[in-house]
Parts: sequence; structure tokens; C-alpha cells
Amino acid sequence: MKNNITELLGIFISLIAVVVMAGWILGIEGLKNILPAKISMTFSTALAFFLSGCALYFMARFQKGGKDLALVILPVVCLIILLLMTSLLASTLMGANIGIENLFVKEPLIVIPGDVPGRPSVATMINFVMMAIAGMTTISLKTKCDEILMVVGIVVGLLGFTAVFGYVFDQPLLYFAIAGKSNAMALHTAILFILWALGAISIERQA
Amino acid sequence: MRIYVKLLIIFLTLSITPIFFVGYVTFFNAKDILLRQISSELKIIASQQAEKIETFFTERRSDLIVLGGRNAIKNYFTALSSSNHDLSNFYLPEVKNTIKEQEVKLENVYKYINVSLADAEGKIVYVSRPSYEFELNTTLPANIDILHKIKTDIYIGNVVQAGPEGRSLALLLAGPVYGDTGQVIGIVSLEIEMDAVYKMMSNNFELGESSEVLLVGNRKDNELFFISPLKYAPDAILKKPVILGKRYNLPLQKAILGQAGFGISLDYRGEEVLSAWQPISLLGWGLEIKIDKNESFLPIVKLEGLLIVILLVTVLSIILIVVAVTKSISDPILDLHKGTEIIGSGNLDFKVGTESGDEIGQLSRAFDIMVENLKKSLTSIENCNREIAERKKAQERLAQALKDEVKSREMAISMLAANNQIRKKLEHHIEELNRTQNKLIQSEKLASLGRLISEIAHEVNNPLMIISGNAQLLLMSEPAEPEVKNNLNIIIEECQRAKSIINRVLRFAKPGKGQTEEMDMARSLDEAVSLAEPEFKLLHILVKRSYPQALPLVLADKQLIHEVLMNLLGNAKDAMREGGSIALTAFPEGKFLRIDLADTGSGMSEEVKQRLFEPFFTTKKDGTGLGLAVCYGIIKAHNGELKFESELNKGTTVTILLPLKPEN
Repeated sequence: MKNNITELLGIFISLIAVVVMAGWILGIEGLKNILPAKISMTFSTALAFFLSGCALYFMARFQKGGKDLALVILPVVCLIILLLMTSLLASTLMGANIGIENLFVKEPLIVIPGDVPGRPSVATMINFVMMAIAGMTTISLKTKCDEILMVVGIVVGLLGFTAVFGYVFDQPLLYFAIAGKSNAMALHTAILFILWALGAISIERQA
Repeated sequence: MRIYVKLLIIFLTLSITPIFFVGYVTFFNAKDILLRQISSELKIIASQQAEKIETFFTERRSDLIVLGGRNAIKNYFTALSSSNHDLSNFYLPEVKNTIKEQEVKLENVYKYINVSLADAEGKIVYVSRPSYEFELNTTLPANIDILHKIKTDIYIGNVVQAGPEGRSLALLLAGPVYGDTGQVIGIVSLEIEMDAVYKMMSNNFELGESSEVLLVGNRKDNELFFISPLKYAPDAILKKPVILGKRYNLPLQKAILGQAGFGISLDYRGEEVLSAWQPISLLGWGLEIKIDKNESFLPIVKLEGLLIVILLVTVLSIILIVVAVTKSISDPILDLHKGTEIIGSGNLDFKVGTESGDEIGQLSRAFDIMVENLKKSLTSIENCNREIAERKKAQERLAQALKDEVKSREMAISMLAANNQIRKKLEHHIEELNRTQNKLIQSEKLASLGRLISEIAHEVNNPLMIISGNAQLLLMSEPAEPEVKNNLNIIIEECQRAKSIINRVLRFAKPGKGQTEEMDMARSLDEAVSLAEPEFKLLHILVKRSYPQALPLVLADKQLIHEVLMNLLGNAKDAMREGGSIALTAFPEGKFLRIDLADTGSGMSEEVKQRLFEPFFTTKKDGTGLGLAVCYGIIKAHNGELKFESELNKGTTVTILLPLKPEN
């Protein structure tokens, strides 16, 4: 039952991510933001959520017995998330761009340097790295995966909740908006992190 | 999913994804570096260009100030303002010379269109080159608030079409001429051809074919106009507006608003360009230097193409290698699988083993060993099975023989059993025959005895009648002696008694139904019990009656049945001298009325039961032994039955069955 809920959460997260990506590709503002004038989910974040949703779905399916497809899909999606987010994190720390940040970002005037509107927040990138690691441990460290999923789920969920509280109490620092260091985490990004965390914690390991 | 497909997907993804990722990042960074490099160059050039233009016009301002301070011009305007035309005319040649000197000097540097002088009201009083923009005795352009601005500063006007037939583009610089008292006494203006500016903007830097320097000015509210020729729209100068807030020409918009910078944007054609922009604050202009993005990234495009080719080759190679590797893993497994199917179908001689040293090779060789062992095991099993089959056959034969033996014995047993059964039947029949014979003998005996008793009774009856009669006669004569009377009474009583005995004996001998009539057995039972009750009470005998008052009627002799009931009640009483109980029940049973008398007396032994109905057999000291025989006879005469069940020291149950009246 719990694994079924996790599967549904995975599908939901991926669907929301697809909607946001469509917003970026087609230039529809309403699909990128929860509310107008609020911070939008970047394309790279949406892509990572799509892959994370798939990973969550297959993590649950792996435990239910659908190991065949999970053994193929999980490593692939986790690798892509890891590559993407570690690169973005490294580029943030080193002050460089890797090019994916501004994918589909259609600014009328892109002023160089410094303006990287498509880069996720640091907390977002850290979360995705942990989520990718959690996905890989599901198939590689079967005996330890319960603990790892619990820890990752709690950390990801906490970061998400912190951002939500930041929006509720209007504290930009809590949603990781640090000038010159980190872009803000979008509200719907934070919510999706919470949902992913709930899904990961709910996974029931079956013998 | 087949292992081949799984391995293929995983290997391909794990190898190609990082390659593409790294390739993209590398390409992007190379592009970014190039972009920054070009942007930096553009920025420098834009800054230089803007500085040049600004310097040029700063110098022209200075020229104007200098010109306006020349004595000839001042004297001229002083005379003019005091309406001293003669004097002004006197100074005019000097003015012309002064201006000519200035023109010659300046023409070496750049091109003037015209130098003109206007009075304090703006009326043009001198032009160095007539038939240009301003004519004598005309006023400076009315839409220019020259007079107001001139009083405070040098006026720089918009770029306009000027010269003969408006073929040139020029702008007007005008400055005040101050009198001795500091008031504005005249205006000196320079019309400067924009060609001079365009010459400064010319491409003495090598950026590319699509590179261009643009100037915007002539701002009116939110509209600006191009004031330099456009490479790709030559007729657009002073005609094509740049609207503030629109997505095109953003660098020029930013420059006009006083911002400098560089970046990628859309130009007036809608093409993506790399540009640097700079404001020219003195003139209120914006300057942009741009180059098409495609041209600027041309080296990268070539690199991109190269990278794509390399990536494609790499990916293809990876695919081929991965396919080969996965096949090298999956094919032996498939072969192993096929081998197991062949072996599974029964061919144990098939070998799947390979020479390869990897785990799959080891597995396949181990599989062959297992099959060999299996084959040996199967062979020994077959041998065992054969032996078992033979033993089984032998066993079956033995079993059959045993079966036959058993069958024959069973037949013998069954024959024995049948014999036993027949023997038992025979015994039973013999017993019945004996009983019947005994009964017959008994009946015959009884019949003989009856006949004998009847004859004796009749023989004895006659003398008894005589004795009794004579005794009665003597009694009638009333003898005097009381003892004689007593003796006569005794004789009569004894004769009566003897007669009663004889009658009873006669009844035994010739039992009969007597006078049959409808009889209420319940009533007869009640009557019999009431007669016997006093004696029962004395002996503490309890009588329990369990019969309905409305019993079905029987056809019988009341007297005889009453005699039977009294006899049976008497026997029960005799069996319970120290107390007990009698249970009386009566109910219809088929075509009979059944009456049961059950006592809790001393019961009878088997020996007694055998002789119960035998005449003269009695267990009583003073019994005649005829009572039950008579009862038996009476009931039999009524086509009924009299039965006894008794157990020693437990009690006796007498059952009387009398036929019911037919309509019952």
C-alpha cells in the first residue's frame, strides 16, 4: 500500500515537472510560477524533478518486485541528476557557467557577466544530489537502503519545509535567496521536495 | 526484459550521457570565453567611439565659444544691436574674414556646412554659405528653443537633413555672443555635417563583416531615431524609430538612458547580436557597436560541428562496442539456456560448456558436470526401476497366488459360515420343532387331561350333588343337635367348595368364551382393583393405574375376564408379601387391547416360567395349580394371548392381549 502511494507521488512529481518544462519551452509564464511575480522553477530544476519523480516511482516499484525495469531506469536517471546537479553546484561554487542554466531562458537582453537566471538555488542542487544517491543505494545497498532513504527523506523534506516557512513568513533567507551566492528556491520547488521526501520515507522494503 | 537489452541500455546511457554532458559543457564554456572576449573588445571600442564623439563636440563647443568671443563679431553685434547699420556694415568684412579664418582652420579637421550669425532675436544676419539650411533674414528654426537655451549654454540641436536638397545630415550648434555688460547681443551658430562624425565611427577596427556602429538621438518622449546610416537599412536614418520599452534595440535604449554595458540582444532586424553600448551624455545620444552573434561565434560553430562529428563517431563506436560486449555476455547465457532446454527434453549427451575463462564459462562447464552426474544417476535409477519392475511382477504373481489362496479359503470360510448358518437355522428349526412338539405334547396332554378331568368331574359331580342335596334335606328338617346342624353346614359348604373346584377344573378342561359381550376393560380393571385394594393396603402394596377411562371395547365374557384379572392380581399380591407396587396399563395395540400388570414382587425363575401354565403346578403351599392354566385357557378361548416376563427378585409383568371389537 505504502509503495503504491510512493509510486503515485513519483508520477505526480514528474507530471508537474513536465508542465513547468513546457512552460519554459513554450514561453508560458503561468506554467513556470505558482503565482505571478513569484520566483519560477528553473528549467534545470524541472528537468531534475522529472527525473527524480521517475526515480521515486522505480524505487517503489523495485521494492514491489518490478526489479527488471527498475534496474535499468534507476541508474540512468540517477546518473543524469547527479551529473546535472553536481555540475551546477560546482559552477556555482566556482563562479562559472555550464550552459544548462540558461537553457530555454529567453531573456530579451542577456547581460554578461553574472546574470544567471536559470541557475537553481544551492539548497535545490544539494537536495537533488542526495536524491540521486538515495536512488542508487536502492539497488546497490539493499540492506542499508531503509536507513539511507529515511535520512535523505528527512533532510530533503526539512529543506523544503524551511523554504515554505520562508514564503509564509516572508523571510527570503529561509528560501535560500542569498544575493551573490544563491538564487531563491521557488515555492512549488519546495513543495515538490516535501512530496518526494514523503514518498521516499514511505517506501516499504519487501523481502 | 532480456539481459542483453538491460546491459545495452545501461552501458549506452552510462557512457553516452557523460560524454554528451562534458561535450556540452566544454562547448558552452568555449562559447562563453569567446563571447566574453568579443564582448570585451566591443566594450572597449564602444567606449573609445563614444569618447571620440564626445571630445569632438566638446571641441566644437569650445570653437563656438571662441568664435563668439572674437572682437570682430562682438563689435559687429554691438553695432547691430544699437541699430548702427553703417557701423555694422563696417565691421562685416572683418567678421567675414574672422569666420573665414575659422572655417579654413576647421575644414582641415572636419566639414562645416555653414556658419551663421543671428541677432539676439534669432534673425539671421549672416550666413557663410548661403542656400544651405539657413538663409539671410530668416529666423533660426522656430521649433528650436534656441534663444532660451542660448542664454545659459551652448545649444546642440537634433540631427536634421540639411544642405542642398537636404542631401546631407547635419546638426546645429549655437552659442551666445555676450556684450560688454554680459547680455546676449547675438548668436553664432555652426552647422556641422554628420559626415565628420560618421568618419570617426568608421570601421578602423576589424570585428567582422556584420559589425556596425549605431547612433541614436533626436529623442522625443519615448521615441528615438537612428541618426547614423544603417548597414542593412540605409533609408532608415531619421525615419526608423527606436521605441523605449520594446524588445528590439535594447542596448540603444539603455545607452540613451545613460547606461553602458555589453551583452546579447536583438537588433533592428530582429537578429541576435553581440553588442556593447555607451551613452554620449553631452549630446543626449546613445552609441552601440554590434556584431551578429552567428558571425562572432563562427569559430565556435566550426568547433561545434567538429564536436558533433566526434561525438557521433564516439557514440557509434560505443554502441558497437557495447553491443559486442553485451552480446558476449548474453550469448553464452542464451546458449546455456538453449542447452538446458535440449537437456531438459531428454538429450543428456549434449554439452553446453565453453572454453571461456569467465564466470559464464565456469557455469557452463559446471553445468555439464552436473548433467553427467545426472545421467549416471538416471542410469542407475533406470536399472533400479527395472529391478523393481521385475520384483513387482514377481510380487504380483505371488500376490495373485495368495489372493487365489485367500479366495479359496474365503470360499471355505464362507462355506463354513454358510454351514454354520444352516446349522444354526437347523438348530433353530429343531428348537422350534421341539417347542412345537412340546406344545403339541402339552396340548395333547392337556387335552387328554382335560378329557380325563371332565369325566372325573362329571363322575364326582353327581355324588357331590347327592351328598349336598341330602345334607340340605337334613338341615331343612332342623335337627335338634347344634353340632349336627353345624356338621351339615360344613358338609354343604365343602360340597359347594368341591363343586367350585370341579367347575374350575371343568373350565380348565373345557375352556370357552362363555357369554361374549361388549366389555369396557377400564371399568373391569377398576372393579378388580377395588375388590383387591383392601388386601393391597394391608400389605402396603401401591396400585398405579395408567389407562384412560375410554378404552376401546372388546368382545368378551365379563365374568371370565374378571376371574382372570382377580387371579393375576392375587398372584401379584402373593409375590409381594412385604409390600411393593403394581402398575396397571391398558392401551390399544394393533387389533388388540393390551393390558399390562407389572409388579415389583419376587419374580420367577426360568424353571418356574417354563411350567407356568402347567395344570396343578404351583409354588404356593395351598395352591391348586390351576389358576394360571385356567386364565390361559380363558384368554386363549377369546383368541387372545397371555404372556409373562419375569426376573427373579425384580418382578413380573403379565401381558394380556384381547382382540378389539371389530368396528374398533
